[in-house]
Amino acid sequence: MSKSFFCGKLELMIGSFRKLPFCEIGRIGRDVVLFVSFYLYLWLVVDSRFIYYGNEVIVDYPVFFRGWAFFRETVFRPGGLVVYISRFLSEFLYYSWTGALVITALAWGLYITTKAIIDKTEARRFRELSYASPILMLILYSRYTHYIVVILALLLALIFAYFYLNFRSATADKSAGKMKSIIIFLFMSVVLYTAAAAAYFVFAALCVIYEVLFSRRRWLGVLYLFLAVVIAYVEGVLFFRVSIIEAFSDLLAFSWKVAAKPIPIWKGMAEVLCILCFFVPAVVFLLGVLRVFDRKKTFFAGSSGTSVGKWFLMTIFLFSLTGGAVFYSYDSQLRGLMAVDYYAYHSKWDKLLRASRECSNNSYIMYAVNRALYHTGRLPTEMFAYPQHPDAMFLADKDIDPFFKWKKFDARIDLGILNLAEINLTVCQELNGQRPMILQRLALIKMVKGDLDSARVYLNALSRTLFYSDWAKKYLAELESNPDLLGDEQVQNLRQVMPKKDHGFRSYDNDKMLMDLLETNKHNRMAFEYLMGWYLLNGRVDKIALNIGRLNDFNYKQIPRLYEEALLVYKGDSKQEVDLHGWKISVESVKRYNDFIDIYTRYAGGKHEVYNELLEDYGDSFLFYFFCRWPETEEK
Amino acid sequence: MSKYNRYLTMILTATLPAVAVCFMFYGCRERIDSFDMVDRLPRIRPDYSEVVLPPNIAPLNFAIKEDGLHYCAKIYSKNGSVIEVFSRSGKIEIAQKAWHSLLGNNRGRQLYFDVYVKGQSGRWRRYASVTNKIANYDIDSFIVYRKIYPTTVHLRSLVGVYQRNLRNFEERLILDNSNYKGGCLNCHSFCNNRPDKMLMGIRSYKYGFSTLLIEDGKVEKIGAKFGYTSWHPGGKLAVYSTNQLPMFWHSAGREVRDTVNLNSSLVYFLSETRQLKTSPEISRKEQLENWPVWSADGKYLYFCSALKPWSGIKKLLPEQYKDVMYDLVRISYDVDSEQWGQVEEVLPAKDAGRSIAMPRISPDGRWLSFCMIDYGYLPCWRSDSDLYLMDLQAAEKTGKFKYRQLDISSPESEAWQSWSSNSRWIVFSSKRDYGVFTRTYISYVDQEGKVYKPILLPQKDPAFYDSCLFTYTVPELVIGPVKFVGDKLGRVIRGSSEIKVDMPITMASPEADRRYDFQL
Repeated sequence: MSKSFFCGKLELMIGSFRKLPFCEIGRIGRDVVLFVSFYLYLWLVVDSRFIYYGNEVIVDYPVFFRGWAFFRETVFRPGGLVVYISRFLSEFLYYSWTGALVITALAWGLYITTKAIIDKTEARRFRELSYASPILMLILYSRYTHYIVVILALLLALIFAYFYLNFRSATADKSAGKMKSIIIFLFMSVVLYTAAAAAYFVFAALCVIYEVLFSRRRWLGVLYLFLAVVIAYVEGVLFFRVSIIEAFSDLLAFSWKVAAKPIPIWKGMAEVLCILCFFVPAVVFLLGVLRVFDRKKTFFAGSSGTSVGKWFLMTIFLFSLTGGAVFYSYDSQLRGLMAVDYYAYHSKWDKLLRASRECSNNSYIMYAVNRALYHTGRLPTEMFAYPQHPDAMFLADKDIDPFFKWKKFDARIDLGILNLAEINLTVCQELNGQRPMILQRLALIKMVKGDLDSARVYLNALSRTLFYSDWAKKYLAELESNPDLLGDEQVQNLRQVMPKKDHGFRSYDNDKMLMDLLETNKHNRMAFEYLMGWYLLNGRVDKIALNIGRLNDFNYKQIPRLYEEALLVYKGDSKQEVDLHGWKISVESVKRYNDFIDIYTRYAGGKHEVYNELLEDYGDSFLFYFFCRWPETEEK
Repeated sequence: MSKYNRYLTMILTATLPAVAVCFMFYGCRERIDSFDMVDRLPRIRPDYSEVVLPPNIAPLNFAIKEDGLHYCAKIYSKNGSVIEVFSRSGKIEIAQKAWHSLLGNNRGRQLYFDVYVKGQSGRWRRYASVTNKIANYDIDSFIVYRKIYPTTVHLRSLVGVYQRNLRNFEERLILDNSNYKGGCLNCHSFCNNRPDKMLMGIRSYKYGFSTLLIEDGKVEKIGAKFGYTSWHPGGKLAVYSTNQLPMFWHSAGREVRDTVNLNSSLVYFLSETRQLKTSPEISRKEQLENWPVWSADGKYLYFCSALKPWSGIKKLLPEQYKDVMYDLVRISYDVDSEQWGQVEEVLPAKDAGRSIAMPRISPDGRWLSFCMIDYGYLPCWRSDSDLYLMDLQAAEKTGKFKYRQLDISSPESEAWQSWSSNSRWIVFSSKRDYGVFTRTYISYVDQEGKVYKPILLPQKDPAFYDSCLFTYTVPELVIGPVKFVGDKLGRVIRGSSEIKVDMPITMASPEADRRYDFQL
């Protein structure tokens, strides 16, 4: 191939492009800008990694496993192919840029097929409506939902509908065409139902609407309607033996599996998904109705030409609409939440603390912040520099989103209370599927507990994933040669702190749990700091005084500031001396306490004035929390 | 060139490469001309060595766990040809037709697995022959089990009851909770191992709590949820337990979950009159009755019973939960007059030293198998659970109920036994090989009650269980497939038509299906 050949081809392409009318060039340019912006937004702002790792939060995240067995068990059921491909594509969300690419490609696919279908109705002047699908997807992903299975099934249904309409146009005027149309419809229906389950009804609806309202072959439309129900029943219920509920709703937006996710942060997203699913049939239906009444063909003129002014206005409108959609749906709090979750999983504590500033009033954030503070050695000194609530420390808040609630397993693993963490994780697995991050933690717990048979099952399952395979294989090999995992620091540390004494419980009091951990291993620093943190949050300054001697079990250089403040409060309240076990309260803390009390007593009764004056200088202190912010104080 | 020659040339042109390819493949096929002997058994997984296998079981595919480049297994018996399987991965997947032919022709004889491994040097090694025995007696052709995640608390995940054809690897769904938008699917029970007469408990938060009754070629819904159920061999009634079973957890140890039977009694369902009844003898206020099972002749109902150490409704875990020890007792019943006798002790827990659970009686009436645990009633979450066998025939003669622990018990949990219709096979759940992931095992029981080393329910892929994250519980042997499956059952659950039954309320009746709040 010579260089001149490519140059010739390029010139030909440029020549063809030049011949395009302005409106077409403008549209192409607009599409390019729109979808590039779409991609950049998903990549850099939404950050699809947060969706991938939001594993314990995002319910039914499609998980992919390698191997024929997984393929077989996934594919051989209605919609299995779409589910399998969705699971594979979801793995791309592991990296932000590849995830954004997949989502953008899907959005572009929906846009292009919608446009092609609208063109088939000859209502080309309404083709701008096809931008609605990507905009709806933008809303869904701005809110960190991941309905890829439904979206892919919809895309496949639209592609099939386009091909049907294309074929139908070619045979519309021939008498034999009707029979061919039926055969093609039947063939496509069977294939599509197998691949995309009930999303097939979008295809069927489009065919019915088109035949009734555009082709005026009403009997054919009625026949298609009948056939659609029969095919779903025969194939789904009789052949694949799925339940009738699944046969008629699986992979559709209103499937009970999609709708049954009562997650407050995603309120309204199932409805957006429904609009996305039924948008194209609704548009085609309205166009069909319009066509029936539009006898002068005002809206259905063949020309799609437009002036520069109209193009400009439409472009402005589209970008405004897209911007509005992003503005409406983007939630920095939610992003912060997902980012915190991501950083917590990767133990990026400093980044977590920074990200937490975006959404500080969430129980899960407070919980994650405390973990980060502990791991960076700042919990006893900086705890109150961040919003706190007693219920958040162990995610015990009854009002907490149920899908964050189970994330309490992370602190429990860190603490060594492995059986509780195991329960939380298995519930999470039950709710959210076989997510690698859940399996990984379960494998770790089982290895620590010495239950190697169970650990191997989790590790073998993980070894079939794309991104956790190496981790799993490393441990599988290690278990063969060194079943006690003697060289594994994490495993050994956890073995040292996990409880050895068994007792049955239905509710495990936090106080008792932490005391049990310290009884098991008095050097469990996290248990100690969480115990003291728990007492601070609950205003139990007497308990702080009682346990201050435990400082001797660790290598603190001095009494941590927050404990000093609590001891001073205790002394001030009880008028009793505290046995400091040889430790001393620093002069700075005593002075700080005295200054605080001076200001506080000066404003006796004027809560707001006290609050404002003390906030700046004492906002990160236990004194401020105890006297001004503690929930019990609020109630008083 | 003549027309004839042209055709000949074309045929030769097409045929010769095909022949060459066939020859090439044949020539490349592994052959074992010489080998070195290794004086030990090969490591194979699952461990299918020294077992007694049913002549109608699916191929016992296994993986050879020896280092090598190429693997071969030769499977043979006295009659019939040798099955030779070569493999590069070590997975030995045996052709079903040849397997069944081999087993069918060699009932009662030994079955040998000769394992060969080709090492890095290119030399084949042959290990000592793995010897198994083919039993004379078939096992029932199907097994019905429940497949769930290890901890099913929220019941939003898939809970399903499946039937597996034991002759091959086909597993088919009977019912899962997608048929009623999530919920639980409880124990299934069959009358005399017959798939056409069964009960299955349903707990749906959308469609209510009920029990499906398959009988006389139709499915009906009973407006009450049955607990652990046993059909009278005559099929006229089924006795079940109503229980209050909150879960609780352990702070340390391998098994996290546990449960306590706070309150329970036995109730029976009369099939003809569609009534629920109980008797004071089987629903005593001070007792916790559980695990009913009928004797083969239908004259006795055996069950477990413990003195309730607490009173009133308990919300929290009673401190005495570790003190509850169940006795094995029985009560006579006359099916014609519907008369219950008096409760008799069979094996008191104080004599056994442990708590008795899950009794099952062989259809020939001779054997009673059961589990024993250190306390409580549910063996499947207890690693101290072991299997025991009692000779009822001998007990009738001597008046003494003697029992013995079965050698097949492992250090891990054993539970949920089910007898085959010919009383020669017992299936049970065990955690012996896969930790918290319960699997199904099959053991042969000879005329003298000797129970042989169990085989893990075979799968097509011998590595299937290694990464299977589901547990298999409540295996029940049945003589054929359950015909009513999927939406046929789902429609009945979702439908409004049901057999209205009035729950017999006694002082011992537990609160119906109470759910407890708990904090994890």
